[in-house]
Amino acid sequence: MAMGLKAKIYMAILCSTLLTSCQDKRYFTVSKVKDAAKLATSETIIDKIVIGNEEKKILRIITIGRARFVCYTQAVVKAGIDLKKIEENDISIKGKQISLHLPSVEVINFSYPFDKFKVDRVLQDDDLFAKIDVKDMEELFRQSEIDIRNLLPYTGIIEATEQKTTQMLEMLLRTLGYKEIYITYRKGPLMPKINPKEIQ
Amino acid sequence: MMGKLFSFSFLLQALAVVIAVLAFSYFDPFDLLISNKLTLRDTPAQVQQIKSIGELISAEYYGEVISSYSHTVKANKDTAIAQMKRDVMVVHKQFYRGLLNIINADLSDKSDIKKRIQSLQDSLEHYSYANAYLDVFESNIGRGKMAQQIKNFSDDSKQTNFFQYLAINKVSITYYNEVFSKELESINKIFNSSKIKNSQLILVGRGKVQAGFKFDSLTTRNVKVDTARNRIVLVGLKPQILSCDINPWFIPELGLKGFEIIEFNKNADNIDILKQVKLNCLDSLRNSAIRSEILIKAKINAEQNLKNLFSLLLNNKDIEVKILADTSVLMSVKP
Repeated sequence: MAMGLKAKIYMAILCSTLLTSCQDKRYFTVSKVKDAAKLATSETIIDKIVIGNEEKKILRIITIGRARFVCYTQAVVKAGIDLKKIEENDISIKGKQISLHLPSVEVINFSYPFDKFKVDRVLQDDDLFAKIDVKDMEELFRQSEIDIRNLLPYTGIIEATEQKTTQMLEMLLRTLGYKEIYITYRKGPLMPKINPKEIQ
Repeated sequence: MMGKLFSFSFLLQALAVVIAVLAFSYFDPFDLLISNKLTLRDTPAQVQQIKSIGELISAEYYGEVISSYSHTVKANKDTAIAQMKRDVMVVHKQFYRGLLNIINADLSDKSDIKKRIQSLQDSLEHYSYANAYLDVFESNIGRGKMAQQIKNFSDDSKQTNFFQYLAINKVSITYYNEVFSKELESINKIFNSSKIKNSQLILVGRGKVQAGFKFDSLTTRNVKVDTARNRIVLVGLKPQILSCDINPWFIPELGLKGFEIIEFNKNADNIDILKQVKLNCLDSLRNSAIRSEILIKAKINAEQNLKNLFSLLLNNKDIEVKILADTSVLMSVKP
């Protein structure tokens, strides 16, 4: 017997619901303390002004309202090396001479602290039809964080951190009795590259 | 009859169309009628400075917390009450001490008495709740009498007993209690206002706490290498929380948000309220990490991880690493 129209519609709705629910990514955070061995040797302070605009339109043509949000923000990035990634064959010792081939510099901590965000209330502008609410503000901060993260490899952090790590380790290795010290670094990404379109 | 039926069915159809149009414009599923476009302007990010630090992160805590404006208001209220309680007690003690100081003055030395009276008045100036305390004091002994009695006391030594009487009988803990309950009432009034009660913002925060050791001030003096006993001792290092962050993103690569607004109403649609709730989330995260013994684990992990590192650097698998907070050990540890 042929399937009725109603049954077909119900089936279509059910299938689409199941398909969309499969695409819904769900993660959960496990609250626990993890072992780490990260040596942070540089701290970079980055300033960014977040300017957000919202436009409300009817029929996508007629603008009925505009809102503006301006906030001064600051990110603090600590970079260094992961000591756990040092392996036996990365170290060569010949008497009082030591050569280290260290893991690549990476971001040890990225902090975008909200308590340092300063909203410019003079430039902030809401009107009757358009308003940037707290959810919109969060969205703007997220977009801004992605911008800062993606900019990091071009800020000179890697070179500065390599230099500062070398200085620190040289002091330590001299205390351990080494006279000739050679330190090199592997090349690798500072942090994962993020494509804003993929996470929207 | 047919005409009537026709008009009735026409009306029904027209009504259905109107309802459909209204429903479509209300839900606007394709954002055709009203569209919102939120855009972030492309502004440059500027490196302000890159400075040297020395930190060993040996333990990381990842956690998820939930907080709301109600939680924040309750926490702020509790803090305000505790602070007020302490401040009123300080004023109470200061006042009592000041009176005893006056009583112990040499009655023949009028200038000394004046100085002591002035000192009592000056000492109260810097304290919060001093006026509230003096109000309660004066309402008990009679308004305006305090100034009058002080004047009399400095003019006439017969008034000595007045201060003795006050110190022994009147300036009692009941004054403190009276000021406390009066101030408690005003704090309750502030925090129970309808505006605060009708504001709600619920936030989930996911973040990271890092703990370990700061090496900024570490010198060769703090590193003791005891080759005879295969031991390295790092002296004067204490495990501490090095960072506690909840960012807009928790794991951006996975699209996992740091702060996620679950619910908010019009009264709470305000960045100041958002900041307060975020601060509360951050406090909860830090407390969760401390409850999970992050500092103890940071020390244990650091000793183990540094042992591994030094074993490689010294080509000696039997090396042991100890981290000691107490600098007095510097003298006892053999170089």
